Amino acid sequence: MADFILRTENLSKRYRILPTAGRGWRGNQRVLVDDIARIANRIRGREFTEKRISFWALKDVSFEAKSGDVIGVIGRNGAGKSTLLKLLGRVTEPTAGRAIIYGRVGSLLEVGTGFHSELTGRENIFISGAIIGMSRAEIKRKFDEIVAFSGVEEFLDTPVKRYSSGMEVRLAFSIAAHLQPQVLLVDEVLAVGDASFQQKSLQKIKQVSENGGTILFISHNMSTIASLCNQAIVLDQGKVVFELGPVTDAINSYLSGVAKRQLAQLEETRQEEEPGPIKISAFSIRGPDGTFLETLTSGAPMDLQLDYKLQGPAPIKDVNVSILIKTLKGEVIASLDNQATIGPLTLSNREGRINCHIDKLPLTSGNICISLLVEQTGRLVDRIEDAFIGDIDRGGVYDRRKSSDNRGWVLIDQDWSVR
Amino acid sequence: MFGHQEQKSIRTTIIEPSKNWFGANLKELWDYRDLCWMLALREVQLRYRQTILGVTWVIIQPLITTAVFTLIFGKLLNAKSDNITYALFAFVGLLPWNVFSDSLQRAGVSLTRDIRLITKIFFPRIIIPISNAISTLVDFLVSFVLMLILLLIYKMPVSINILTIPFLLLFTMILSIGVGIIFAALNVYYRDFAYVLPFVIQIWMFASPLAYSSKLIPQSLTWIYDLNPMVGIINGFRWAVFGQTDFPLNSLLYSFVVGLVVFSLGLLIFRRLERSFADVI
Repeated sequence: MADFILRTENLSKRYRILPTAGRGWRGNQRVLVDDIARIANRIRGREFTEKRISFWALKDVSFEAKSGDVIGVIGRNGAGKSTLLKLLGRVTEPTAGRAIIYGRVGSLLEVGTGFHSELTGRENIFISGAIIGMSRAEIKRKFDEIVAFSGVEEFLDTPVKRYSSGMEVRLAFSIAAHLQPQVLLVDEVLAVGDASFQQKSLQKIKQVSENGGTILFISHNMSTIASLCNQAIVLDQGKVVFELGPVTDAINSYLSGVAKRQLAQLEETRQEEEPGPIKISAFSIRGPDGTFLETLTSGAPMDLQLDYKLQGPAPIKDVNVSILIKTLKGEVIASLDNQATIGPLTLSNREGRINCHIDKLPLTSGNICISLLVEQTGRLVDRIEDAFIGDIDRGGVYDRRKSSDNRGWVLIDQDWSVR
Repeated sequence: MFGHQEQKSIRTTIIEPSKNWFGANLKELWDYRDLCWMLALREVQLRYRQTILGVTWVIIQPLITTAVFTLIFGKLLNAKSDNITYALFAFVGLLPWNVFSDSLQRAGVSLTRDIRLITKIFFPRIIIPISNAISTLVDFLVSFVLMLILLLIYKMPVSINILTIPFLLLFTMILSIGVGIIFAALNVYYRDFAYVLPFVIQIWMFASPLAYSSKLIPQSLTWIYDLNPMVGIINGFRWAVFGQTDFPLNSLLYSFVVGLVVFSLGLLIFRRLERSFADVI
């Protein structure tokens, strides 16, 4: 056996989309016409000029995972993380390159995928186990263990549709965990179940590496990656931007890359193709002394600043700016909106800066990203996704909080007393 | 966690763009045979769950169809039935036809019903349509027993030819799975095929000697009529049960060959299209 368990060599995946297709019936029809034209031209041996735009969801990804490695895969949304896991899990085929895997591959892509809600827990253990690659004999052998780990003994003969979502997830995880794979692919599943089950799951996952397997772990949560993984790789736009290396270096590289992007590459994340009357030219977050902040601090004061340029003559009235603070998964935690305080803005200079001051950031530590929306007379005129991606550190006025872990997203000023 | 036994049988997977057209379709199918059976079993378990009559539906369905056929074709239109009680004649014809049409229909739309599986987990996709098709064999078994009871009631002697039925059934399955996987694969790309399929089945039904005897077809048209591979199979079934007609050797051989050709073609098409299932479904 080679000294690696998993190796990828220039693994690449290209998707093709027909940009002119649009949705609905016309779109389907255009895709069909394009398909037929391509096939017809191939049969006649003619060159076919592709109308579809192809883009590489993953391009030339090479790395080698050795026995015992726990590898974090880091990157923004759309960086190619899930595509990498899909390729390794053989859900879809690569366009070029290859991967070699010694041993069994287990996926914790989305828990409960193989479940059928009408079937009982018992029946689902067998089906789901077979779907992820266990033989019937193997499932029978491990059946009691699976049931015990999941803790749903009493409901084994109840249809899964009557399960609580927690129970369903526990059972599903339990089945997947008992596949005993050499390579385990994990995509953000630890956010399920209660704290004690999460601990159990983490241990089960770690066991794979302790027994000589290797784990590929996708998470948006840098602290989970830091605590679970010993190695990490950073992807951006399908390419490796940080080669497999120590996890702290990878996280630092990712976060500093993110900080650089903020200023230089706003253009890239601009969502509106048509230039509107107002354009955001830069976005930055500054501390009270005017320094750029790459990391934010819970409870600390800060200014969010949008530099704008007008495309037409000034002034422009009835402008509304929204700053959406989101989790890296895209859930909106909070929205800052000028309408909430001073009402619609009037921009009277052709170039200028809109400032939003926060006295103490009421968010717990973790990773966030910020999107910007600019509306004029109710019409969206500029929109930038992920204008900022970064960490919130513990500190500031909430630092007295000694509780060991962060629960939730929001910090609330609170006074306690006992009589 | 990894016992010594499991270490010995370590498998190597190489993931790369597929180049060949045939691929390891059938070998993989064999590796995952447990899953195939279990999915077939799941289909059976699910089919009549949360119904009041439950498995009784398996018995009721062919009886009602036979009754309708007998009433309309047997009594009203006086269709010829090769000197056999019309109800029996129709029922025996329906046996292979129901297996064929049910498994074709189920296999044909099967992939798009399991989108979550296809986009999340790897296993040979062909297992889905095949297990769907296989699940109809349970209905066949029940109908078959029902047929034996009917033969008893009508005091019909059972021919020794009945032992050939497993082979005839195999022919039927090969043909229907062959057509079924083609529809299943195409339906992933264009859902229109799910709407076309019922019409295909309906037209195919009228083109098969179900409600009428194939002797009804004018001599000048039989060459077209016999192109339908189900003609040989249905006549074969009647020969196997009643033993009164001649053994339809030529048309059965023809059905078998067509079945194999369609099946291979199906595998080929499926193999070619399944690469992108997860991307386009």
